[in-house]
Amino acid sequence: MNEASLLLLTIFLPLAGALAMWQVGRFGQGAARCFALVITVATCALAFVVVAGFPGGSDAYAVTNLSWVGGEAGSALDIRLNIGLDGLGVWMFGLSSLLMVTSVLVSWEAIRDRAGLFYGMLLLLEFGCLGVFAARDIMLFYVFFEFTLIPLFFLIGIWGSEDRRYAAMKFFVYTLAGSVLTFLGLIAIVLWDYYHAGNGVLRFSIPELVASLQIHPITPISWQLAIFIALFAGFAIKVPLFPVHTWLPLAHVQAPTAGSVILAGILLKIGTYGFVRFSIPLLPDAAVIAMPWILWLAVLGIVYGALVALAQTDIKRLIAYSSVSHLGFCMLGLFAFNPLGLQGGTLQMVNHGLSTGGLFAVVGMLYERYHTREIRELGGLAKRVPWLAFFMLVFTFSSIGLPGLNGFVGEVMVLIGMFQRAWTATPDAFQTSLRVVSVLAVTGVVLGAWYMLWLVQRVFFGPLKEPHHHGKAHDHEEPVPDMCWREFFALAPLAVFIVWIGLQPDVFLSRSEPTLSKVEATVAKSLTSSTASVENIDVGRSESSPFRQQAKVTRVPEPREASFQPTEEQLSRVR
Amino acid sequence: MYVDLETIKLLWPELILVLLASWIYIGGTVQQSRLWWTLFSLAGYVVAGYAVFSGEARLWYGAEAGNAYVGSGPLSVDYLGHIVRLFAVGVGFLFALVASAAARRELASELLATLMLLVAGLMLVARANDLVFLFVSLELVSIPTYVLLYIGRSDRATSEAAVKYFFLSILSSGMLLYGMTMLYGIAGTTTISGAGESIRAAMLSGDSLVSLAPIALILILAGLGFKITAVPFHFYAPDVYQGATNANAGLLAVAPKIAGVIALIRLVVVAMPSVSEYAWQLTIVLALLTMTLGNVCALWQQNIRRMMAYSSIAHAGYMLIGISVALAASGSYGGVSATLFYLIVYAFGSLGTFAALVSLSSEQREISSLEELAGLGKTRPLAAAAIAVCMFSLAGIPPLAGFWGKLTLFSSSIRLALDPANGSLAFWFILLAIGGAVNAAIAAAYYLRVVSTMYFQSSKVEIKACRRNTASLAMGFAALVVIAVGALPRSIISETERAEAVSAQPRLAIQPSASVEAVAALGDTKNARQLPTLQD
Repeated sequence: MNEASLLLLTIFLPLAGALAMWQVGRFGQGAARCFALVITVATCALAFVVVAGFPGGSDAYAVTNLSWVGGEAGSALDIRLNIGLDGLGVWMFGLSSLLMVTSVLVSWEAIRDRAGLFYGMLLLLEFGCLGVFAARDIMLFYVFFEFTLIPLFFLIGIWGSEDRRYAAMKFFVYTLAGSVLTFLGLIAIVLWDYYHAGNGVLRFSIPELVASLQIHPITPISWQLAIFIALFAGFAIKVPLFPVHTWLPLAHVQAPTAGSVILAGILLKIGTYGFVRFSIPLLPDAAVIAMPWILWLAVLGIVYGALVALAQTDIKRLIAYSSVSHLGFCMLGLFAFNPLGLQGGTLQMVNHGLSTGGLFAVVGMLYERYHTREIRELGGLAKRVPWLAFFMLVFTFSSIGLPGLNGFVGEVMVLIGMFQRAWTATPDAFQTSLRVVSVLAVTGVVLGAWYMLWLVQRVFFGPLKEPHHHGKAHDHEEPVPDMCWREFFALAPLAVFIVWIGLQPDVFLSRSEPTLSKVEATVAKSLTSSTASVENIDVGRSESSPFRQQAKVTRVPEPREASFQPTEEQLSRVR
Repeated sequence: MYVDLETIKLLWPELILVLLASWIYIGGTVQQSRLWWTLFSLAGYVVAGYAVFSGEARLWYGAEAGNAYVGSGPLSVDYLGHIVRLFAVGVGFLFALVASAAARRELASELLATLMLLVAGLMLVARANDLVFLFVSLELVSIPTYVLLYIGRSDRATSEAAVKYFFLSILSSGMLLYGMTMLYGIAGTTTISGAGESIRAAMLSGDSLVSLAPIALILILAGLGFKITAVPFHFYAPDVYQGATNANAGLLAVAPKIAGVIALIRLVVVAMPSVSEYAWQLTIVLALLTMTLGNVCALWQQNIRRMMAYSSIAHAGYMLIGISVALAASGSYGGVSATLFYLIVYAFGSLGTFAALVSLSSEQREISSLEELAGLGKTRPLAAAAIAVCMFSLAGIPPLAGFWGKLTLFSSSIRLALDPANGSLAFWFILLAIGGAVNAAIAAAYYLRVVSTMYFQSSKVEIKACRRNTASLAMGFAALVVIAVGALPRSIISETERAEAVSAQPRLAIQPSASVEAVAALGDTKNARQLPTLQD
């Protein structure tokens, strides 16, 4: 079996599992959860085989390209089932398959009501997540992107906490409102390419579009900006960036544990992934113009998320706000537009998935034991549940960036990237502004350590404090048990990867670096032209000539090319 | 207008349906079995469907297949008509299943026969190439609808709904007729395809009668606006749907819309391309108003039929996007095919929902309020799943059929806007696409409310499980179509793309610079081949 069919099988196995769950679910909770575990573990194993075979530097690994919507030749909508991995999607693909196993294991006892439907939805969600990161067709991506909303809507709405109906609706409508605009933006990109660069063919393949729009960038710049804003609407809500994050804490708090793990671990990353996959390489000029704004939003998110997290009394809500803060870091790295930042941001996507996915899982386990998530009702639990406390500490340290764990690598790369952008290669107009952003971002690290360690200290250390009444009908006479093997296997793989990435980041970075350096190259060109002369951008460019040669440079830029490239020294310092 | 044997031969699927309907009317007085007449009429639809398919197989499939044979007689033999006829037969088949479950035993035969006449009317609308023929066909859709509304249930609400629908429908027919007479006055011919060319010629020669064309256009838009429930001619819909039975509301949501949209394509896109400049501006405004008003009002509804009425208003707005695109520019941007695809997708989504409501209702109790659906996910999982699928499709969430409908509509609109040849139109059509997108998000809110009521609330009222319900067959079939078209949209999209040829009429271009080409294009009869005789 070659890698292409293996990848296809990995993606469609969960769908087949979900369909089979319709029948398996009738045999009750036990059958449903065992079947779901078998399917997710098999998918995870397959995904690891595919990911392990991924050669560094490949832009098109395990590609399957089948005709789908178009059918006959000459059909207008030649949307294809175009699936494959590159350095950007590969780690998120692996992470998705891993977190799904965790999700099944943390739901093992918690989900009793309509278990068949629950695991069916979970498998559908896995299908959507795997598809998003492997899609190489712009519309196929959107289909998977939107499809993930349906299963999560059910997961939150049926198995969530008290306010679940409202949370599910808000989550869905909020996300959809942004993503329909993204939809228009994606269509506009395809059609612009059709009229100006495609030879009378509608092209939907992402690599082809990237290549073509590099030669014929979208002009005038106002169009490019409009399309950028359309894409931004969907992706920013998904990330979520600062002013449009309000759906997230609500959805997180109301969702069942598995829902939170997947939402934080995978679904939020679709937003940042969308920026790197579409906004930056397809619309580089607009991305450069938007850069300072987005960096400000990101840093506001970092600081705001951290400050609000400090004030929370509910553990889950605290971690939800920490997500807002951490994804600000991802965005900061990605929009620093240099190799270090882009790589750090991409790595941080995986890191956040591991650590926050793990944190939500731990919180879920605590909730199963104590039926509360209130910080003040708990204390000194490390005595009662030492193993759980151990994993909590690992995830916390990962989250705050303790050296030796993965969070450190990502955070440092992001910050160095950002400082590099602010001090060495900035358009003069934004220099001060970007320097303020960089400095503010560092305070986010400090605040992050503060709220996370404070949380751990209050809940796990100090005098033992357990709620007497557990809210529900029953009362635990004997002390709550520590982790069982099931819970151990839910968390241990995450911890292994946290340590592995922390000790050997090169294994992961080197494989995604070639793809990311191409992304960086697309935007670097726009960046040089904008540092040269911002006002020249919207001087009308003719469609045929590549605009770099056409723009009249009024002020010769200093050769700043060198500073965009990471020196070996810088990289090795990070590794 | 002349009728000869050739014409009759082209119409024999419709004749079969009318003859069978008459047979059911007569036979129904003797034999009152619901099962018997249901099977009979289902068989009738199958035969009619086969007749549509095989009768013109030589024209559409195989080596000599083409797309746009324009007949010179009262019939337009084109691919648009062909697929709408097939679609109408399919819709008839499903509604026969629904009607059979909803009808009282002693009225079953009348209901099924009337439905069959209505389907024949829909098929004739799809075929009409003559103003009189089109008008009569539209009446053959309307009159059975009045009857169906009356015999659906006999209480005050239903009677009120039927009377309301009757009077407003008559009014709209009057307006349509008035518009048609003006059209005839300008063109001097009742042939639709001929009218397009005569109006163009009249415009080029500076005939003063042409100044009536905008009035004709407005009257026709008003008349057909009633049928497709476009704002501001929509206001009857919520009351009528609410008063009607679920089965009839479903029929109202689908049948007049098919007839209205096809008539709109024939009368405005084909017959009046020369006045398209007024037309697209009007339809854009109508589209934006219709979508927004429909969706916003639907948000507050508690009665499910009323909600679906507003939803059907909103979807009419979406279809007008495609019509506007087809009107605005002479190039082929896929406006007609997008409208047609959307119509089909919408019809199955709506039909599935109403069929599910019928299958959940019993003769004693008709499901009306949204609250009655609470807990359906547990008590009736299949029906709940079918409704959920239809709701997500109507909301346009991938990978269901409705998503591809939105994709084709939005992309046709943006395609027109981005084409460098239509610089001045770009703004309006971008606005239209954005309006459509924003509306998709608003619409999701109330469709999701239905899903969340079914799945996230526990049931308050026990819904009795009724066995042997043919409506659940229709429901299941519609839901499967929605899923299948979502997974493999190619099957329908490629069909509707072939029907696009109907809009490729030469017209006066809007840009003055391009008018030379437009005049030159007048002689272009590439698409209008002579109708081959059907001898074997």
